[in-house]
Amino acid sequence: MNTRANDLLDGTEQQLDPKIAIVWAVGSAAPPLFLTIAAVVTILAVDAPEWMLGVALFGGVALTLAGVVWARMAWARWRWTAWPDAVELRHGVLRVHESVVPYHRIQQIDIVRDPLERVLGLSSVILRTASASSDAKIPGLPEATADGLRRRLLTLAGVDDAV
Amino acid sequence: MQCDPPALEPHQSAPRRTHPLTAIAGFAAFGVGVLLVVTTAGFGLDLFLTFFGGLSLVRWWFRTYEVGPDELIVRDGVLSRRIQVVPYRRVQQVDIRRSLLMQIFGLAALRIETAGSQAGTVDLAMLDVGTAESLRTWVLSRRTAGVVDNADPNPAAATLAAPTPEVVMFAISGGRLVLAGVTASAVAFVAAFVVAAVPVAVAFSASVGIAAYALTLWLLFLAAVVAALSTIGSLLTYARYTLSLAGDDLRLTHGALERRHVTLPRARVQHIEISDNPLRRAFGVVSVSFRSAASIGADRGGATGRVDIPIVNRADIPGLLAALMGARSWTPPELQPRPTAARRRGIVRRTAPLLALAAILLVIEPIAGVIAFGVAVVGIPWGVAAHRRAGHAVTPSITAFGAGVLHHRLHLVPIERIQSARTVQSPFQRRVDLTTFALDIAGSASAPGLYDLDVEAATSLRRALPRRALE
Repeated sequence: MNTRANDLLDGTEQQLDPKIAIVWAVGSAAPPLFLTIAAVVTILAVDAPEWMLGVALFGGVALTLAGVVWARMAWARWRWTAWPDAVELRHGVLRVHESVVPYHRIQQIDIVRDPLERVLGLSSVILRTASASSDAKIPGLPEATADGLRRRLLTLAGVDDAV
Repeated sequence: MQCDPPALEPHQSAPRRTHPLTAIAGFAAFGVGVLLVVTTAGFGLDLFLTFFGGLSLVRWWFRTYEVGPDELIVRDGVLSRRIQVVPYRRVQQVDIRRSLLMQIFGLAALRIETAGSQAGTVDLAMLDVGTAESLRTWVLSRRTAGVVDNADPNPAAATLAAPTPEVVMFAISGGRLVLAGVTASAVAFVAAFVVAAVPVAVAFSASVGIAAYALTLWLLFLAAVVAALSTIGSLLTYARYTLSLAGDDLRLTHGALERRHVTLPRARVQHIEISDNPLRRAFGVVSVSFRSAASIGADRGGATGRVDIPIVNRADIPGLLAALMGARSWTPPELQPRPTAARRRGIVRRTAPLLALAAILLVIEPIAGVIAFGVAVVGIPWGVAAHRRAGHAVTPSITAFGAGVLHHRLHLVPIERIQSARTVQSPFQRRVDLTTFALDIAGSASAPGLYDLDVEAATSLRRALPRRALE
């Protein structure tokens, strides 16, 4: 992936860093995994019939795997394109979301890194417009790309209140 | 430090306080609830009055506002202090509200809104009327001044611009307000209820143990009460309604018990909605609401970012909209219908879930299943009607979306006001190359848009419209 900021706005379609799939997989697979462990421990502790153990194990593992597969698919479907005047996003596994956010509407740019993202060296760039419903979050960018993108876009952001 | 500044010099920078009665009002509002708790807990009334009265007074004392040449500064809080700075340039809307009590005491509540969240809202309640009005004039006149004479070395020399003459565009008489109340959607609903009253009464009279005629009368009475309440509500809210234009500002005044004065620059109108229902169509009237970028959602005093015109003749709409948008003329846009696949999907969406339910019910409870089946069949003409109304149009200045079967709605979004654009496509839509299109606009929590546009049209709209906003 190109990390030089000035070349980011040339309209080439980009993917996210594949490591973001790990972050999402942890997020979607951890709850079913913990529930499964809790269920198995409970079943063993109360001497419940054996078939319940099988159901809990099978269901839990299936849900956990589904979470991992989902995260991988979400990464595979994510595309973003920075044009000279606007950014276009396309994402979603079942429901496909596509959005166009012009730079002159940008009010604020946030960079968010949660602990796992920090470990993996990833950042999310959130472009904020005056509308609460704008969809302009680009997750899973390498830190350098995110910082470069933010610096580049800030020079193009709305000069007046853009409302 | 003065409490009631001379009304003519609002720009002299010095911290001031709101009207002292604010402290008493705050105490009254906050205190009544606590009073019950305290007296039942066995504390004396005197202790209570001293403590909470004192608290209210301290709060009032620590809240000051400063009218600067370019911004309004509000300092607030006893222990944790908050300083709010609102540049006049960013002002979206200015409201003055006067409840009945405030009118008796000669007071007013001033609210200044900037775009977006509640944090950008300044509430100055309460000021005496003169102060509130001169402050409003000052804030409005300094909106553009701050940009022009930014380099002015002596900001204190700035003076109040001469007030712009106000032209009344629109007023609503009492009779029209009654019509607005009687034809409100709530009343249309009541009418449907009345139609259903007799069969419902016949069906249930045995199980309730009341004679059918008595139950019918009772239901009709309930319907009449709802209709009357809706009409009275509309009368009180919109009594003495005038909409006027002062320069580029829309000024709106209405209310019987509580008077509301809204000033909204027409360039800040983000979204206009024209709606009607079958009753209103019969009378040839519609209602119009427009939204500013002021705070999202409702709070005390209702949705602030929204201004309503409860009743307008359909024939007057072009003139009104031309004035609202500052255009020379306005013609209703010709809506482009959606592709025929959207009609099929509209029917399926409205019938399929009910048909599935009917199938299950047929097995369990045949009579209920037949009824559900009948209701599901209504989905077919409903879907066809919905498709016939739905459409979109793009003119050089606005985007329009039309929708609705009984309750028709036309959404207009000035292209200059579009923040961003989105499409969302579900797996079902993907099979037939349709998608849902939405425009994001400042402030409003809802994004106007349309279901089931064809993908190609929606994609080109999504790419083109937000970019055109710059031109």
